[in-house]
Amino acid sequence: MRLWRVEWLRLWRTRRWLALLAPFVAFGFGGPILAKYLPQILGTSIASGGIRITAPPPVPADGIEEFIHNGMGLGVLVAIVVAAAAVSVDAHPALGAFYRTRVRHSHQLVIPRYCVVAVASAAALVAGTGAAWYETTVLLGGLPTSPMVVGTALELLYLVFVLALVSAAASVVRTPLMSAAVALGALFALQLVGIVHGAGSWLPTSLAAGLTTVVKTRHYRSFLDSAIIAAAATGALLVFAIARIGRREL
Amino acid sequence: MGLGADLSGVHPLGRYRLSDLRPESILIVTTSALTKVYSGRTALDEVDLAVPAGSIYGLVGPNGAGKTTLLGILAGLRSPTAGEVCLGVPTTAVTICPDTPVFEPWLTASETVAFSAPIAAPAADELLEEVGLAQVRGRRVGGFSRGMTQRLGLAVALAAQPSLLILDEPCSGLDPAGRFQLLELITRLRGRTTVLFSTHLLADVARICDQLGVLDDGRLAYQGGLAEFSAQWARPVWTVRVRGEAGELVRLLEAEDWVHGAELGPDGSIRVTAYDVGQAEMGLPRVVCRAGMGLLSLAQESDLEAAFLSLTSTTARDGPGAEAMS
Repeated sequence: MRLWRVEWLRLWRTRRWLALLAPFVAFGFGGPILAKYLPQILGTSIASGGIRITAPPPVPADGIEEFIHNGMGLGVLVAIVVAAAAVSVDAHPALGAFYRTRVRHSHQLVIPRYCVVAVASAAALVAGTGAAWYETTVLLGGLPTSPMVVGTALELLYLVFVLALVSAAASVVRTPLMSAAVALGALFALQLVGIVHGAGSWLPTSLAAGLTTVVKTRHYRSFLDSAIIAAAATGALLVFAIARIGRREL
Repeated sequence: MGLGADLSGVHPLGRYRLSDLRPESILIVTTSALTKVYSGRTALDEVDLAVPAGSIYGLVGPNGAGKTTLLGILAGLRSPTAGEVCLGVPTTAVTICPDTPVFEPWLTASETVAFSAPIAAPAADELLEEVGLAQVRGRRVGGFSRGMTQRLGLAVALAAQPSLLILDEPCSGLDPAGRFQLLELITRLRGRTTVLFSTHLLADVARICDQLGVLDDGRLAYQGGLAEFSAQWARPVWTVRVRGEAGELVRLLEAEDWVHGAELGPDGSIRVTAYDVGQAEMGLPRVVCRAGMGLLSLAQESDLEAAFLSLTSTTARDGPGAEAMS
């Protein structure tokens, strides 16, 4: 069965590609605009106590920070939902039976579903980052190429890790809603672990702020541990998902 | 079957084409002491199934008898708790069509068939024509009725050119014409594909099957030819409807020495099982007349149905599923 083509059709015909693209691109263009005009917006608003709030003049890194701060969260959330809908192979047992009786191994079910959503989400993130880079350059000034490329790579690594987490969740629970909820819960737990134990520097979740930090500080090495762990965890989660889905009964 | 081979612990006996097999001498599916237990409840209890190659094998039984579980294990979708499944064909030559097939609603019928097996588009269209869906081959499956989806399920299953085709309640949701067409289609597969299908409809079994298996409460109560089944298990059964106190008539019938049993149904009809056809034909109207009641109807049940009810009499009396049998 041409499962790769089915997955591309799923993305195209259900218009899920639009859902993936929209938040990244919208905040890609909107983030730098917000950064540019935030001082004016704050300057015109006067608090009830008569205190005028002022903000420092924006720098180019602020444009990217606004994009990551607002767009990445929503974009990843949409990617989680889209991925959960795709990788929940057994959400409907009859449809699961249709697919399961047409493949020899469960990796043929999991890998195309994961990869197509991951590639589409990554393309949307790159498009959004490109939009933010362009808009920032136009409104706030140029951004350094090397940190932008490395930072974007870190964000992409975080995204594929999150989607692998969704695949693993879908092998534990059956419905897309539950898969998304379990993945979000796991991400939240990772954030908590990072705060409580001070392990944030090597957790994959620290990569979410990778682009902003690298553009601002130009220090790449601080993300090396978390990048290695995220890559390894992505592979491990996919192997886990393939094994679990292969053993699951309908 | 693909993915399920590992799950069900299937042991393929070898790689054969159906044409290489001699029907009736080669068993395409055998199970030995196949058992499935769901959290303490035994769904299948040491089932020894034997399906001859090229046959149309009907698997009947009341609701909850274990039919879907058995078919799911054979298709590799569930794993047995104990026992073995042996296939006479490669696991890839087995396909299953569930009772309510579901397909991606955004694919067209033609795409669904073409995606399900490595076949060319014209072959997919031919299959759709065979199941009566040629006119809607370009339509998205999301708008299909249940009957259309059922027929598409059969086309999809046939696209893989299976040696063993497993159909779970293939006629459910079909109108009489659709049911007739589907049974005709299954009949045409005789000899080139072994068909194993479960059903509630004994009339369908009588029409197309040459082998029968009766599952009752997880046990294979009967397996063999249809004629032998009727001869072995059929006991004359009549349904009597009277104007008057039916309970009184039940008591009178039970006193007759030719009556094996008389039961009052929830609809007021009386189901009478007799030891002898001739005595029952003479005795039933006589007893009704003696009771002073008007005889509204007197109907003898089909041999197959009577045999089924006789075989599964305990379930027929106690289980709600028995009422679904027709």
